[in-house]
Amino acid sequence: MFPLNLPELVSPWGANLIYFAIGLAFGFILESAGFGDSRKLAGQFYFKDLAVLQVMFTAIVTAMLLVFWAVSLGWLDYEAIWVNPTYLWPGITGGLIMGVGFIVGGFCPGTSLVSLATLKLDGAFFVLGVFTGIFVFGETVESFSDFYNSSYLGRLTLMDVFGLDTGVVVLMVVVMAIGMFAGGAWVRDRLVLAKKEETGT
Amino acid sequence: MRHWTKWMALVLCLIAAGLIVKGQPSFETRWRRMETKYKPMLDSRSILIDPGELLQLLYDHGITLTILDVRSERDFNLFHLADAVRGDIDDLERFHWSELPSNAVVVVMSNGETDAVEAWKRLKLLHVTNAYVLEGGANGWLAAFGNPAEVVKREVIDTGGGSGDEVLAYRFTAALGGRHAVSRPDVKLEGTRVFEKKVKTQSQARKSGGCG
Repeated sequence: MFPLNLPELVSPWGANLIYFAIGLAFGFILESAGFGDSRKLAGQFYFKDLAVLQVMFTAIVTAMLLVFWAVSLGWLDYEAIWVNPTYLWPGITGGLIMGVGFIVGGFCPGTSLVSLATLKLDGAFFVLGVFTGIFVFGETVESFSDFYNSSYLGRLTLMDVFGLDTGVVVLMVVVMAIGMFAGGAWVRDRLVLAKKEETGT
Repeated sequence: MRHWTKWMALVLCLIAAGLIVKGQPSFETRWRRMETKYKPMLDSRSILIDPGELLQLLYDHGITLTILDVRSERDFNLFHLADAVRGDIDDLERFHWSELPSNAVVVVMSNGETDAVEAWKRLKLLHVTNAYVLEGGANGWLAAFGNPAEVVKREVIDTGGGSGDEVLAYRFTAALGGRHAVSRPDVKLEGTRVFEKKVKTQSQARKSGGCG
């Protein structure tokens, strides 16, 4: 039954090689989707380019359906999957900071590494900023540890929040993703149309 | 939306709706899948620890002990072990088991053993590593360390139609919860019992994950 205990199955070094290969594949896919280009990533926030929304939500929906169908069929032990514990208000604050950083810098930490891999200067400076931020955070976290550890809710999922069955929540997320695809495309088409009318082309 | 994307959206919704029909595996189904791994531990009683060993653990500062009491609120309020926490068998997910330190030991107890073993099975499905069951439960504990001044064995036990194993077989003069002397007996009493030590702490690699 999955998840496999890779270090036990193929030795710790073998497991590390597999993690490396997965990381390479992940970076390759991000670069192939154009996520090494900050203009493409930032285009999402101005409804000029919906690639981020499409790729991310496709990944979320695909992984979610695979995970819960695998659980349902008895191939995967859901309790053995790591779910990041929820710290509500620190999480919201961190999300806001990261969101602003994403719009201003044009990258999230992962895509900045992809950009650096293709030697893009903006990606390199973003990564430098990321490491500086990590260092500053590490040096100062003690001063706000009360807030940092506050509103702890443990392993919290949408099923727990809404008190609904897994299948219902999965369907809701799929419908939401489809709605966002359609809504995003509609807004983008209206903007393109408005621009064409403005330029008279 | 283009024609094929509408079909794609419909297929995705159908796959998701299929999950509502199929449902997620129940506790019984999940246990059946893991039974071969854990049943030998139950059959050999290697996870049942003597009250004497639990008394030792109560005074062991090298471990983080959690005593999980799955009895009714009434019995828990009447008497429980010092620092025990109460939990319903069907609601053990609410505890943050994944956050336990690597030196944590969890001992489950009920009045007898039946309910505690049920709770232990659920803990194993939640991947709680160092989980044990108190042999004989609260009744076994009281038989071992109970002082007649505060606790008396009942002559006739009304099981109320339930399992006799899971009925508190003792009467208390007051409902003091964890403030009875027998809730944390003197550690010297451990020497009055002969038992095989079974608790072995296995550290579990801390998992983490995320996406940047």
